[in-house]
Amino acid sequence: MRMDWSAVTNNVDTLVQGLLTTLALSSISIVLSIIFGTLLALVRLSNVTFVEAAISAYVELLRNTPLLITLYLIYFGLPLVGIAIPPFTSAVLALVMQHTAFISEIIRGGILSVPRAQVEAGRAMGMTPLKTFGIVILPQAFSAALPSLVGAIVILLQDTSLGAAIAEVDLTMAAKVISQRTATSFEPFIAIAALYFALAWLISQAGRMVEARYKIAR
Amino acid sequence: MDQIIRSLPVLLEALQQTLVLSGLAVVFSALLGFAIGEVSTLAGPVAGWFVRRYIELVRGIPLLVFIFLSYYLLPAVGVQTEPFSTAVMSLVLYFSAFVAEIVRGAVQSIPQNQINSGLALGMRRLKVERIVVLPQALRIAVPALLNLCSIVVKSTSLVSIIGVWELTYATREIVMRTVLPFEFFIFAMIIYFVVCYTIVRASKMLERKMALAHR
Repeated sequence: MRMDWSAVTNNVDTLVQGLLTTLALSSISIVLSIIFGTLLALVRLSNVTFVEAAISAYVELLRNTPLLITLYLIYFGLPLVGIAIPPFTSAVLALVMQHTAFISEIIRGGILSVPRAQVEAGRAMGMTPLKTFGIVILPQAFSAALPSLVGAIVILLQDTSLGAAIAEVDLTMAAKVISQRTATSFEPFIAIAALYFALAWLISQAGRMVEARYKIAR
Repeated sequence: MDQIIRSLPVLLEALQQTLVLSGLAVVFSALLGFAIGEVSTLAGPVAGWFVRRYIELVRGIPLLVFIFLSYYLLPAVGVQTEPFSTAVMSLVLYFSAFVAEIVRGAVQSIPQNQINSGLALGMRRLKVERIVVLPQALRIAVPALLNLCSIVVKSTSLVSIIGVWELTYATREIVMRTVLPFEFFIFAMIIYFVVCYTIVRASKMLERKMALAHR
């Protein structure tokens, strides 16, 4: 097998463009998913039965269906009800919908891992419930959830590749475009596989550093 | 609703195709992954090192990129296949890394003392593996492996992107014809949900049963 890297070296600009889109897509979706995931976890733990059941149904549904179907639903569905959004926004919406479900479960697990007695201790010291939650529970919850959270972020990064299915020009689509432009060469895919791998590696290294820094002794 | 009923036979056939794909992917990645996991723990540090790098490598690459890579790479190295075989091959190569990781974790959770005891009784290392380590390790691994099955089922939807006809592809086709994206994609969601949720529940149940057995 002879490798010919000219397809990659001649199209660096397309790949860089794709990489930037992938980075934008991932970071926006990660931030939003963590915010919404935390909110869902909180509401779910607030013990309002009806709301709890609704959120739990949402989480289970999204966790057990393919992201691609959610993506198609948004991409093909919304224009029909008069909401025309670009592929980028569709991808963000689908990623956030899906990963909010994953992340809310992770955060919920983190919150539940903090002993209940600490809430009572905080309250006994005269802190408001909100303050108790903000400075006693949440930091410990995030610390406990961090390893799973880093894993979820890596999966979200990988899931952005599905943007290629709705012609969003992310890293994966960029490789596909180049490949078709250059008589179906496979080298661009090796290049982007290496890039995705490097990004995943960076995320887990960063995660490890944060973990070491914020490790809470139990 | 009318449209859904009319499309039901096609959708069921597509579901069958999804299940066939998932079944093939699960069986072969279980076999390959088990072999890889065992090699990484039994065949010495060098082989173990390579296997761990392989696992890390695969897990760092998105499945869709892996599928595209196989799709374009296989013809370039002279392997002429249909999209279906390419899809099965890439799913198997990809998920075997995950199976290997699960098997490795489970095998390593068996206390070294038990292996030493077996060796002290005069058993050979492979025999210790077969009658002491694996029966326990596999029981530990089953819930995680079942969870992986549901991930495989969900992931088969990606092969529609290289033109393999299965549930996602068929649904897309129907939507293009009927222009009823909400009805059909939500219906497909429900089908996937029923399959995956059943597997996940089974995994949870087994986990609880195992926990009891270990008490």
